[in-house]
Amino acid sequence: MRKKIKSLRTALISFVLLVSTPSSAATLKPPIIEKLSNGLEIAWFEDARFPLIDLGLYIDSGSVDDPKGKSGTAELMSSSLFRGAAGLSMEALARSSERLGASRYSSASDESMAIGFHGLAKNAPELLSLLAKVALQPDFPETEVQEQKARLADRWGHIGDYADTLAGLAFSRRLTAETPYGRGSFTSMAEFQKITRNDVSAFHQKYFRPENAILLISGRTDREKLRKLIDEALGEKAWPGVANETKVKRPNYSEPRLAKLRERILIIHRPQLTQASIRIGFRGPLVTSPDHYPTMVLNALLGEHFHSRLNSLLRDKLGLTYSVGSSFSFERELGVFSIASSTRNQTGAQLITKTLQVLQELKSGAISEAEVETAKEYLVGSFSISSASPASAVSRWLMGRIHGLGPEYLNEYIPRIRAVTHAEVIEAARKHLDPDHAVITAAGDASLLEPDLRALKIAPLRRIGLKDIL
Amino acid sequence: MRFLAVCVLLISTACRSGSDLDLKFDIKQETLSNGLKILFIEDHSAPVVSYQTWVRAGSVDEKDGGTGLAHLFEHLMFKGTKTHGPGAFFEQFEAKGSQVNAFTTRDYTVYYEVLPSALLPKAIELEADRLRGLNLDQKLLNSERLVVLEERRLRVENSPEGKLQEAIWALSFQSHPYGNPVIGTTQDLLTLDIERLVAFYDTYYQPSNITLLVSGDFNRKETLALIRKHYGAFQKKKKPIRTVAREPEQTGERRLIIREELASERFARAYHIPAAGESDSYALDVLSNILFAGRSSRAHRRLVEEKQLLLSIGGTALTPAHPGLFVISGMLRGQHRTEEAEAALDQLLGELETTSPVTPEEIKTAIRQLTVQIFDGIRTPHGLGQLIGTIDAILGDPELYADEAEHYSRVTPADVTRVAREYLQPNNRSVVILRPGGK
Repeated sequence: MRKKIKSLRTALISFVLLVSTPSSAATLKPPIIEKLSNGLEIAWFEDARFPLIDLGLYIDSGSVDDPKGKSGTAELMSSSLFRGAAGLSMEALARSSERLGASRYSSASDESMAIGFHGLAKNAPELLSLLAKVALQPDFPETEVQEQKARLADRWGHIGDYADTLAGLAFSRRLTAETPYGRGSFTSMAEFQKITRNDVSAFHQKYFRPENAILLISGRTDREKLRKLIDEALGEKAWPGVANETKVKRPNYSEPRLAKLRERILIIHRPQLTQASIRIGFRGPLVTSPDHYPTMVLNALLGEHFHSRLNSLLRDKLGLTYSVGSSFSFERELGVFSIASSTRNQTGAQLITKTLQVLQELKSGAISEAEVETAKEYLVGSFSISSASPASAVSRWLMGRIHGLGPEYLNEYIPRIRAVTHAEVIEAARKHLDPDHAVITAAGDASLLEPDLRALKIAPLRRIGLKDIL
Repeated sequence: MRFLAVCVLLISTACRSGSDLDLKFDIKQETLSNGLKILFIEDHSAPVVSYQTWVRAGSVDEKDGGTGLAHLFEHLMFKGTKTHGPGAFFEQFEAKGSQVNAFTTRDYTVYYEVLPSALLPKAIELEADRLRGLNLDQKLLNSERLVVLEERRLRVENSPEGKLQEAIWALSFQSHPYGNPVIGTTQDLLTLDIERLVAFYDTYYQPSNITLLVSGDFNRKETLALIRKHYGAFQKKKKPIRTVAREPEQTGERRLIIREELASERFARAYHIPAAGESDSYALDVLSNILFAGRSSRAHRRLVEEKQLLLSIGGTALTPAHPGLFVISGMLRGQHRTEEAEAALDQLLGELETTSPVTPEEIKTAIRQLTVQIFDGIRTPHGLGQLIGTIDAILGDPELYADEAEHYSRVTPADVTRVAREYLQPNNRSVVILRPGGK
């Protein structure tokens, strides 16, 4: 019937493979935290209801840490981990986990990397052993790294096959200009091609360090037994490399706002598309902002639920789109607000205009108390239904941990949402909605999109081709 | 049927190994005098309940020129009734954080709410209400038609995967309605009229054609009483008889090349296979896992890693209520052509009977993989309900998984080899290629 758009950080998604099972009330059970003598933190999220386990290693570094001029190193390193480790070939590693029925994952996002296994609880010792091998003893065979590099380059070329990905990448790059964020897997193919096997290995040695990692264990476990195995597999001597230098503190990119762009609308010309994929947004507050919870309520009434302002207008009333949604996403030093939708090329200008009008209305304070109360009730209820689970606890705990929000963050969501006032939402809209400076990208047929966009004089626009993105 | 296969494999595995795989579903059934069937699966571990309405109406029930009717009608079920406005489901459920949604398949349509237990009575009331007093008029139809056309552009016209899937089903089924897209063709969507929708509602949305499924934290006695109160007075009607054209046996390969602006070629290959519940469907499920599940699967190793022809390959045995398809799809690397991948695939299939027969260990691996999948799927009352509902909708009895388990436990390497030989043969297949190069 419908589709909701939500954006979550890739690294967090990796740890939320477990399907949510609501638990009583909306209280998330805090993990049991342990620490090895080498600094590795272990977070146990125990749930004995099903015979499954997820073992994931979170690394607190990502693409923003790529060596200068070699963007894509984190991505290539992360995807090469399974291509040979501890003397085992790629195929032997795959067979070792798949014969147990387990699946594996690895990912690199802007600020983090994740690697892990998901399988039957009884196989936890084998899965832990495999995790230790691929995470700490990767061989990075030259031929395999080169093969993986070729494969990633090939995949990069397919971005143009997907309008939504294309619009999202262009949007993200414009909005995060002059920050280390949001560029996609890499800045350019030329940079990516410069990466060598030694770069990959050095990156691994530098960032795969116990003091830079968290082991997340979720599911049915025998903690005492598994802990002994962890001591052996991930203990003092298991890690390569030397201790990290102090992390670089980056500036807060959310303030001041993005410098004024000459052309706020960017059209990626894809004449074969019958529908334009559209993104609209601007920089937003950080997750640590005092306005965080009011902006969550604001977002819910704007574009999160089915009867939100955007969906009611653009889908229900005007029939312009099948799907529209808004979201805030957070990196450590950058918050981003975005709206994503799609419509046929001929109605692209109308969708953009109407969306900007809704943002202007909200910014001007036209928000009713009832609307705020409904949004709050929606957020509290949906948190209780779909988020009160071991997997959600992992995700939320990690979010709080990464952003230094304190242990109370895990269970403050409902009281903090309930405490948001009508006045705070109005103030958040005034302060953080920025339609006059919104970045707008559209991937579609420019010859059909442009005439109305120019006639409506929404903002100066520029047409680019696929090659300008890739 | 992959979904069913997963469930059954779980049970058969549980039977053999006991311990942590030992799951039992306690399903209770009731049928009202008007023919409405109700399935109850109680689970009080969390104060949440999934209320599901399974209507035996899908795209197979659409007549000529009416493709997309079942799905478009599903959209209109959210547009209000004589007694409740179009915002009722939002106000009563989603605004309180509950999940409300629906989906349409070839064989059935499902509406569901995932709610705090306290809201179950309201869900029963509103779901019953829209089975009788739905608002259906031209204005609503015109508005929602635009939304569905946008959905079609999103999911099919501008999606390489969507386009490939639509084309392969259309090429494979030339008489049976499985060849029609569930979402409908643009032409049919533009011409569907309100009279047709009203007739569809009258025919298919009636008690003897619907199964309610309640899964999670609820009191069965109280829930049954509420269901009787709200649905009991519905008039009993004869269950609609499905008249579906039979697909004649395919006697030669069919091929279609579609020119598209893409970075590289993609293809789908489909073979006709039996329906869910037919004896060979079990071995076909195991075969698909051996060939395509994971990086150590035969096809991935050969075509992706060794020959480096493809970026990805996948395959699955899709067996709905009627005979289905074994679909293989892949994305080529660089300038490689589908024909190269097909030759390598044919060689791989040939080796099943010659140099590289299926081993018992491969069958065990397939079963373990499917076991993890099923546990992932049933950890919520809603997920469990979806599984049992599917079994009921496809096979007509939710308890059948128990009978079927035996079939899976008996699959042998020889069975897998035989079904590969019997079904994955050239005269039984259709191939669609998306080839770069413009329209």
